[in-house]
Order: sequence, then C-alpha cells, then structure tokens
Amino acid sequence: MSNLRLINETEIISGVSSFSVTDIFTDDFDIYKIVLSNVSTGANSILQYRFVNSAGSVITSSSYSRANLNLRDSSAFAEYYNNITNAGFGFESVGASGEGYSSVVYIFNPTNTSSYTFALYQAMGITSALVRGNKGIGVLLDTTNIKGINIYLNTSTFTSGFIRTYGLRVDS
Amino acid sequence: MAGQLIQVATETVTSAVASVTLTGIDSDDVYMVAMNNVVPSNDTQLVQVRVTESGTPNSTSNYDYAFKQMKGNTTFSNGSSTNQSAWFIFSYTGTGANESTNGLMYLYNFNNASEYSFVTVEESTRTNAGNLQGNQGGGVFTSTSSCNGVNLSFQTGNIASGTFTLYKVV
Repeated sequence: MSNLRLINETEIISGVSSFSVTDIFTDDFDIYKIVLSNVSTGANSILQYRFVNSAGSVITSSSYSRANLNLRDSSAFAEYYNNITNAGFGFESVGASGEGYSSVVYIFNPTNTSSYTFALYQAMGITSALVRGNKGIGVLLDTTNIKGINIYLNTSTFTSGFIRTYGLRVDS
Repeated sequence: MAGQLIQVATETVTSAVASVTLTGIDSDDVYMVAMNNVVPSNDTQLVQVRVTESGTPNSTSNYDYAFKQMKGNTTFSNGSSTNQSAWFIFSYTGTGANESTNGLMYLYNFNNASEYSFVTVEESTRTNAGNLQGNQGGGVFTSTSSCNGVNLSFQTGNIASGTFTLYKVV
C-alpha cells in the first residue's frame, strides 16, 4: 500500500474569491502534499495561501513569512518576499479560463503545537499568454493547531479547480 | 499508479544522535527523502548529506551542488561549490525557539554503478537568526559507484530531533 494517502479531494466552488479546505490535517501525518489543478479565474488575478485553524477560521493576522522566485518566460525572474505579512504565502499569477494555474504544495508539522507550520511549493500559471512559474516557501509564525488551508484571490473569482490533499504516511 | 510512495526506511530522533543513515536503495527507481522538524544540538548548523555505499557514508571530495536560496527577510542569493566532502544544500538553522529544517530530496541513479548520483532539494527552514529561508537546487556525486542510501548529519554536534524517511517513488 502506498505511503502517499489521499485524504481529501475537493472541487473549488465557482464564483468565490476565497476557498478553504478544512479538517484535512490530523496527527496521523506530519507532512502533507496538496495538489491544485485546473485552477482558473474569471480574470487575471493573484492567488495566495493561508492556513485555517482548529476553529475553522482563516488566519489573517500578520503572522506569516514568505519568499518566492517568480520564473517568467518574457522577462527577468522576480523575487518576492515578506518577513512579516498577513497575506499568507505564495504570490501566484492565475489566468482566466483556458489559461490557469496548478501547483504542488508541501505542508510540514501543521498540527504540531510545538512547532511552526512550514510550506514549500512549486507552481506554474499563465496569464494573458505570459508564463509565470513559482518556487516558494512560507511559514506561519505561530504554533497554532492548523487544520486546513485557504486559497484566495486579490481580484476576481474562481471558475474552476481541484484541491487534492495527501498525507505522507510514516510507518514506525 | 505512478507517483506513489513506498516507505523504505525511517528514523525519528528524539534523543541526540550524531547522524542518521537511511538505506535500502536497491533499484533504479527514483527515491525521495522527507525531513521534518530537524533541529541541531548546537546552534548555527546545516544538514549535510552524504551518499552511503554498502551502508557506509562516503566523505571523499566528490560532491558538487548549486541552489537558489530564497529568504523571507532580504534579497535572494545563490549557493554553489564543487569537490566538497558532502552536499551542503540546506540552510543554517539553530537551537532557538521554533528553529528547524523541513524539506524534501529526490535521489536519482543511486543504485546505478555506471552513472553519477544526483539529488534535488527543496526546503523550508527557520534559520539560526530566526528568519525564513529555503534552498531549491541540486547536487551530483561525481563517482560512478552504487549507492544504497544517504547519511545526514550536522557539521558540528548532534541531531537533537527530527524525522527522516526514505521513500521509493513508483
């Protein structure tokens, strides 16, 4: 049996600018793989990630640190970083239907209340025919018990997308 | 189904050890090492990685690497070197509150004695200075030996805690 365990598969609701998947992180796993696929929006937008606490609330406080390298096909690569931000992590270009965005995000230690929650990811998006890849990292500077993840857009709304969450099982 | 993970070896450190060795690579498949919450006993240390041959770490000067170092608090930098005694492809971390290293490595051609062994790395670390930092890059072991695993340690002192797991990607 594979040690990569599918935990949840959710289709993003069309017409919303913010979407959460909750109750996906448990003490059964320390590392999670989240795959976003076929994500598109009504208009070009920026997608970012935040965490959801055990009460089901999106953490919007200034308790994130993030960094990402934006890989571009048409201009020099760009660096984005914030030592303290309330925006979460990620700074991803998402295009309208027919273009879109996909990513693989790994989350570390979300339910461990003795540790911060870390993230790393690889992503590829395209907006108005411009390729925008990303390699990035993030951390929640808080030992809160994290139960889920939220994605949100700075403008526009989602028109499609899937979020699949896997746990990396460790058999001792 | 492609992309599945089969656990090959794991070690969870709860009391300090000098190093962790994960072995069991015995095919030409891609392997992956996952690490979480790795903390050194001494401050300002980075995880160093060596291949193992028949379970013994190889510390010859055959390790080359290059990576982009992303930072939450300042502009990014590049890291690279050749002919080192290990892959120094992780960020420095420390003993301060919530400082740890978390990351993934993919291992290529380890079992194949006719090819160099390659590794890619992606990590997310809270440094000894309390900042977010992560490397994305890779390395090569420039010897055509058959390698059956990896040895992970800090440059000085012990591994205080952490979980290390080797998976086969099938």
